[in-house]
Amino acid sequence: MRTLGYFCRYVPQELLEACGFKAIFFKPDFSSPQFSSLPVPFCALCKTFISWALNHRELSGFVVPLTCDASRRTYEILRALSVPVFPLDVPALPGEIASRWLTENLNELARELLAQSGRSFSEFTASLRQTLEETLRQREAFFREWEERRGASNRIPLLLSGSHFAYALLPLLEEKGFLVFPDLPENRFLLGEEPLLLTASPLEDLTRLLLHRLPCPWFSGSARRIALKKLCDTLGLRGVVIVFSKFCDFQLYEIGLLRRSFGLPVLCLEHDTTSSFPQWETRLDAFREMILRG
Amino acid sequence: MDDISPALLRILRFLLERRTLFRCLGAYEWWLRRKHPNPTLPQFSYQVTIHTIRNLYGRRGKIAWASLFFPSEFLHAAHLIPFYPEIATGLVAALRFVQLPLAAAEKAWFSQDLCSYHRGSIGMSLLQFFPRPDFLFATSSICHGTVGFFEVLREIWNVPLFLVDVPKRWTRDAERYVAEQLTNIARCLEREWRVRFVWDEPFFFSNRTREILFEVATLRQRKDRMLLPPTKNLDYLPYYYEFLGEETSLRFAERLKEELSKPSKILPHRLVWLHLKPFYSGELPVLLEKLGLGVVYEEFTTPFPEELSAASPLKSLARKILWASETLATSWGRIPGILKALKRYDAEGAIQFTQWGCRQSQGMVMLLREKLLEAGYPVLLLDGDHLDRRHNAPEQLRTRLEAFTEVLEGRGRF
Repeated sequence: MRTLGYFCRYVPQELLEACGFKAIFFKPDFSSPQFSSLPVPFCALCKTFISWALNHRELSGFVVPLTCDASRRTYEILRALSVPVFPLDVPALPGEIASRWLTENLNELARELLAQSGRSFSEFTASLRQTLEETLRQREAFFREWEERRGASNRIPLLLSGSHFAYALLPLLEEKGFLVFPDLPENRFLLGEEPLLLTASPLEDLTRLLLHRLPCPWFSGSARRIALKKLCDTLGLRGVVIVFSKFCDFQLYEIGLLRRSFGLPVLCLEHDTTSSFPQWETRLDAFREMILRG
Repeated sequence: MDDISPALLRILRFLLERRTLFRCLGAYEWWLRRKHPNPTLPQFSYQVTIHTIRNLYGRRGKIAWASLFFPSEFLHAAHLIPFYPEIATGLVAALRFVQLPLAAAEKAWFSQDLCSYHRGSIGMSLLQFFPRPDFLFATSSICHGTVGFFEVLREIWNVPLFLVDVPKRWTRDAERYVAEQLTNIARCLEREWRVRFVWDEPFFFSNRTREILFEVATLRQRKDRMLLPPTKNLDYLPYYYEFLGEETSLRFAERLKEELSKPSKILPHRLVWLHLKPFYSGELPVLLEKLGLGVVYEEFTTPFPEELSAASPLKSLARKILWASETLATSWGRIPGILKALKRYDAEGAIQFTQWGCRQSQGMVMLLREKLLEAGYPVLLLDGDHLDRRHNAPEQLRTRLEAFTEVLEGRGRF
């Protein structure tokens, strides 16, 4: 089956599947090789993604959003290295004008991919409707499962937010007695404030889904901070751990703003392409004590 | 000037809020005009600086902070006083004062890895040394970090932020999308703040300035017309951005053309300068001149090639925004543009002083080097910070510039 690789929460897996592709989400870890031609102060995710793409030429291609500066450069470098890459321009703002713009771009991406897969547009729209319904079902299942785990556990419930590398901390967090609610890039199920109702136009529904997804720190506005705070309140979370990439400007700005708005203990753990597990372990121990002491 | 006591900080803040104090600068301005009725370029720049300080700190109108690539013509048409914090922070660095706001930003949890232009402006805002804005305007053009930066400014100042999302590919749909956003912003200002847009005058000044700057560009193609010291033109950034659309920029362009009407000292090597430069250091231009490295073109001072049309102002400005984005921040727009400039100015190579916190330029370094070397042009990529002198390594800089000079001489171009 044709496969496409991607790394961004704004690249809709639903669309890729509806176009007849298997979508593979890139999950790096701290041993992933990096693309060495990029300078030091640059996004660790993009360095590892480019390396991964170059080593997986068997994939039909890669879908890269033109969002932050790093992802833009990733697209340009892959293109220059003759790797099949499909761009997706995503608006950085909410609103009607931005929604229309995104729908047009999703339409354009779909047509490019359908030209590769040979599927018809009507097959695509029917399939897209089904995958969107499945996403909403999986979302409900995700929250149900979380509530069940929460109810059955006496661990400290915690929000883990952050970069693509953050999932590597899950075993350590569990070892330290935390029950983790993940706001991680591969989590497609976190939505913002408004519920999503499907209409007769699947592409417009997909636009609304993308723009209602819990935003990446890159996305403009305070929606993400408000949604995270609401999530913490609704789910009764007692602390926040942010695992951020050293050269991700949006996470860096967010940390400066978030510390004031959560009203909960916040622990920030920085990484580049390597980890600092011993240091993180010590800091998590101290963080746990801080939460337990109230 | 980096360590200031809290008492002195309070006094400074107090004085900066006293509008009347700054409005009294009017008398000083008048005296300067009488003393220098036909000022040279440095004298003119000084007069403009005093006038700008009077306008901003005297609050002689509503103040609009804008990101570097938000078109100032829009702000002038709305009768707002533009203030470009990134440019102002460069001036703060040139006055050797920037470590204080950088420290203030870091104390407020804004990482050292963020761009120092943004961090410095955040610090100046936290210290309340910059004039309080009434509005904020930004685009995601060139550098998307600007969006995060202006979001922080909105939180600090609690004023409206008008953001234009700029697509990364310039298409007709992209023009329509950007123009729609500008229209929305204009309508919001008209409706909520009773702003009236008058396009003719700003567009006239902008277009006329542009024409003269093209004449200046033609002059700089001559071997005996160099702007000295090298990179001096980057000190004039306010005229290319903040004052564009005002008579000030037109007067500047006329003076610049006059300065180039006389033959200058000839430096043996002609180079193109990419991105910006360290503003805290007067040593770099001196060193460049000493090594015979002349700068004949800077990409950040290239005027928009099209005339702005008052008949369709927002469409014109949308095209200007997209042009800047493509020309400076995409590999398919920027690199061919640099190659054309190298040829047009008969330059031997290029220098880029890559800003530590600038992801978009850091990410393009590989492609830039490859394409320029392929075309036969040596390129020197210097690393450091444009504002934060903690990242300054003068001896390393000297060594690399000397080595680059040897490369140029070895190519036997002169």
